[in-house]
Amino acid sequence: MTKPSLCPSEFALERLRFGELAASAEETQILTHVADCKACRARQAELTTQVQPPLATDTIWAKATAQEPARRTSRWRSLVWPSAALTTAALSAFLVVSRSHEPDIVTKGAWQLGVIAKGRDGHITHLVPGAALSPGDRLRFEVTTGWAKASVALVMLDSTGKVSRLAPAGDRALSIAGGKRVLLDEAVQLDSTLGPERIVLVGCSGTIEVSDVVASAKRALAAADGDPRRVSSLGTGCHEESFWISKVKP
Amino acid sequence: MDDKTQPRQLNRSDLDLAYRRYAGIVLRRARRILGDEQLAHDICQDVFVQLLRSGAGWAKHSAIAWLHGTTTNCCLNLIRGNRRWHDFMRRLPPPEPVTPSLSAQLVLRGIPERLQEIAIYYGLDEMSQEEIALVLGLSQKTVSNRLRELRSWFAGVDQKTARNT
Repeated sequence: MTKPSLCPSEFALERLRFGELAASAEETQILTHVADCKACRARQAELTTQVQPPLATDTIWAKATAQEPARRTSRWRSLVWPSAALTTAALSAFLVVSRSHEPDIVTKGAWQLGVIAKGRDGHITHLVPGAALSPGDRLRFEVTTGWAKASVALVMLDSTGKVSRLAPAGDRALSIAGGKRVLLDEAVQLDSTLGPERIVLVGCSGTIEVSDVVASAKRALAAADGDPRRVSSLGTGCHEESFWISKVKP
Repeated sequence: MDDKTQPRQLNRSDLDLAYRRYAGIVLRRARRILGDEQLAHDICQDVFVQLLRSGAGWAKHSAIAWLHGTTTNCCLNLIRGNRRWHDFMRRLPPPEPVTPSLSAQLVLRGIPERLQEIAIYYGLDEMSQEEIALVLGLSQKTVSNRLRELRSWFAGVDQKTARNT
């Protein structure tokens, strides 16, 4: 007896949602099961739509550092949680935010793909995997690598079997330095296709052509019968991180 | 100091990022184990305090596994604490007439302390041995042994109950 139930545990579903099982056999197994299991799809939807508590880290920071809560909010925090009155300012911050984040040192070898969305109402949020978005929403991306430097490219696989190039705009993959978060210049607007979509970050130690990444993604998607949920790897031979979103009607 | 032994300290922006990304999971889990909204919020704070103190290596193997394990530990510590025990018991919802899995209350009533965590992961969360091993940082063999011990414990309780009835 290794498992009380055939359905994946909530733990497994959360790992899947946060991309911890990306390109693994377990991911494929769970996705295959979930596709045929109504109860698991309902559990997955419940996890995706769970209400995030409001950002309340002053007390936590004060407890951990045994200091008074800091009064000044960071630039990052004000970017992500703008008040309604600051929508215009935040909107421009979304479009022109510079790469001047604090340089964060990250664990060697670690990769992170962050996705930031600006809704049609102007609200900007840092997405969690599986987030529900609507056509017209705009996305930006931030990438972190523990490698000294890497070439990166981002593509999106949608449920109609289409592969879209997200970043960079040029032919050659973007070269980024390791050890800090890098906000990519590109912003994309979601089209009207509904359903699950998979954003894949490809990171290589050498140079890569974006067209090669797109071609690999198309082959992988075709091999999965056009279902982005069944693609376990693009087969680029490079590091891959994936992030799920679900596009729904507004 | 070697980086491997001294992980980088997390800063305020790391905390905000982690909280924004993971607080929902922690809160949901704490709520599930404790059955109390306010206590779940207290636990959520404790978990992120521990995250800050753990430094940048906290998510080295799996962020979800670390959060799962730390939240469970914090909840168990709260339940075990004498000071809040009675308060907690008063707030627990009545047991469901039919439950598909063990509730945290049943799990914790009388089960030896060293088996409580594994009882929650196996009985309440229905996690596989591999998943439990990942969360607890143990080998799968050790998990398997503890599950065997847990089953023996339950078998002993069943026999005792049968004798008494």
